[in-house]
Amino acid sequence: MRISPSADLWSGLLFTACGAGFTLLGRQYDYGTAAEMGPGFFPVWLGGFLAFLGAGLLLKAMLSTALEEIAGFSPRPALLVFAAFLVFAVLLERAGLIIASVALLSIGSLATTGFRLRSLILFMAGLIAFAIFLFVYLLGVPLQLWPAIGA
Amino acid sequence: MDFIHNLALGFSVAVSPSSLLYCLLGVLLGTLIGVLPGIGPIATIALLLPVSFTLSPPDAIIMLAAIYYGAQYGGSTTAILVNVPGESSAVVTAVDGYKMARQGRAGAALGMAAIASFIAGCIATVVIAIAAPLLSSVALEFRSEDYFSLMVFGLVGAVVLAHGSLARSAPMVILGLLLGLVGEDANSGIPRFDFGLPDLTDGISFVALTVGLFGVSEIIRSLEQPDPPAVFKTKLRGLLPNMHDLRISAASILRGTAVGSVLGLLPGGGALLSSFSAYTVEKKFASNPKHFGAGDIRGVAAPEAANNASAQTAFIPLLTLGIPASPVMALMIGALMLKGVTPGPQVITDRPDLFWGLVASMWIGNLMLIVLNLPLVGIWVRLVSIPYRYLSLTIMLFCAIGAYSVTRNVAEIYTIVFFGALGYLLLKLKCEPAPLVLGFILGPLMEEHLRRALLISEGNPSIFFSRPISSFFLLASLALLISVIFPSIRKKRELAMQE
Repeated sequence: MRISPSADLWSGLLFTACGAGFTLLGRQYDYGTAAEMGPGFFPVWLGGFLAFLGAGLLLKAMLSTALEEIAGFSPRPALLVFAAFLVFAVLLERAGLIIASVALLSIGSLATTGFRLRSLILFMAGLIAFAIFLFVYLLGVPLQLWPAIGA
Repeated sequence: MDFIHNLALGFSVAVSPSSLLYCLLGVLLGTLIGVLPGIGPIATIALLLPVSFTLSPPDAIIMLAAIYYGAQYGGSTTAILVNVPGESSAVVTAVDGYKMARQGRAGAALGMAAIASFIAGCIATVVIAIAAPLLSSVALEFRSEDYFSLMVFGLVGAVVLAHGSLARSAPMVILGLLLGLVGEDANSGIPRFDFGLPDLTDGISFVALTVGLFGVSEIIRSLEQPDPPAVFKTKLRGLLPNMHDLRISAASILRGTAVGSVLGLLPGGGALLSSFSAYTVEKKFASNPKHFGAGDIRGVAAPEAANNASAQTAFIPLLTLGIPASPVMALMIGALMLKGVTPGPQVITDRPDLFWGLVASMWIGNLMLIVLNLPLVGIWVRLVSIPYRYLSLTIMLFCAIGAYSVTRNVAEIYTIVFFGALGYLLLKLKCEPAPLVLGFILGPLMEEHLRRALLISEGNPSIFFSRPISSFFLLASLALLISVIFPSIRKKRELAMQE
């Protein structure tokens, strides 16, 4: 029998793995008794139930003939968006809001289509200025704008 | 009479200058994000939680609620004019609304959407004002076992009514419950599933989780698609439906309101299901159902009334039981807790200003929407034609800075990336994220009530069947499950879910 990669199959695998993971990790905590539940009681039961439901999905994927195909992955925009956030997180407290924002927007812009360099730069400058006005001046979030000198 | 006295108190709160201002800001922002595809009320409200922290509790909840119902409104405006439903709940409105616009009756459709929403909003406000105090007096009797069973019912409802595959939304709820348990156990103080990371001791950040699941994954999905084609230009002539329109729609508005009010109460019901159901009901009632889909004004009136009514009655379970019926309501709980208000039956008696102020503000907010938005229609439509590249970068930057501002901890941004990736994966696997968020909020509450109930019964699970309230909810959950597994009803559900 050939099992085709369907939404049911992959989500079944995901849920089974998560359920098993939570149950195994949950066993390191005190289980207690039903009358006096320990911190491990609820997670172990829930994890088991999740794994059970995941296994059900796997079974459904194997038995069913009408399979819901997964829409095609195009990793480029996804990876660029994640990279933009990660670089922002790394830079924010080291290089300040402005440099971190420029980095986020530059990486993010690679995932978009149709930007001309000139309009992108103007847009970025305007957007960052607006964000500083909104978060730092209007909302009073203490954000450092530039790298701290000598730190 | 108490009712009049309470509403008077509510209006005195809601017409204070600051409440009016935040209500106005809320409806404008709500309409804006409703118009724009790519960002919805869930991610917006999540990002505004830290902002609302600086406001008084009534102002905060009034603004966040206004964003929610404003978004329903904005979504339908673009659905009618350019066939781009800004929110999923406006998908049905686009069917007949856009046809009307092509026939040169855009003004009548917009006017009808506004009138239907307003009437539904007024009726729903009265429903809340009457039903919530009654329900909360019942809820004061609730014990732990009743709360536990109620939450079981809520989660079963969220699974059954979720948009998409049942077999995949059930595990999503459980996964949400488990994720909600991450962090310090309230009872023993032991940090669970924290992988030794100090940032996880307080649990997973709710704001980062929702922004990742709903905001980031939506950005990526939109970036994968090419920009939508240029929109059809329509001329607006006369913003009001004529007398004939009003006469044939009156009953539709009332039926839509009734459908929406009931579905709004149910967990997982929400605006989307309400508008779909109202449309289906109208087709059943109409003597000439063939007109539907060809620009029938009743096809605009009923769903618009329904989604607005449900957006408001969804507050009833939140304010009386402390149980959220949708992710947006879960965020409202988050906002209230940040302000030190624990949602539950005691809110109405302890904080009448908050409860009645919110009820009154909904009515005022609806009035603002009808007065402000008709003249602003031109601006909203122009916003739709902004290329997505500008929007996506703006949303990304605001998500990043906004989430960091909550705790001033970069761990928030890493959490966003983690849940953005999970959300994207789940999107591809066609797993609806809303049940997960509900589970996430209810996880710790459920565990606590289960623990207390079993402590009292000395570990005997029969306690859940020995009390009428608890047994009722468990039996209702069972009935819901059976109704879905039963094939004929299941078929109907699938039919109603088709877009």
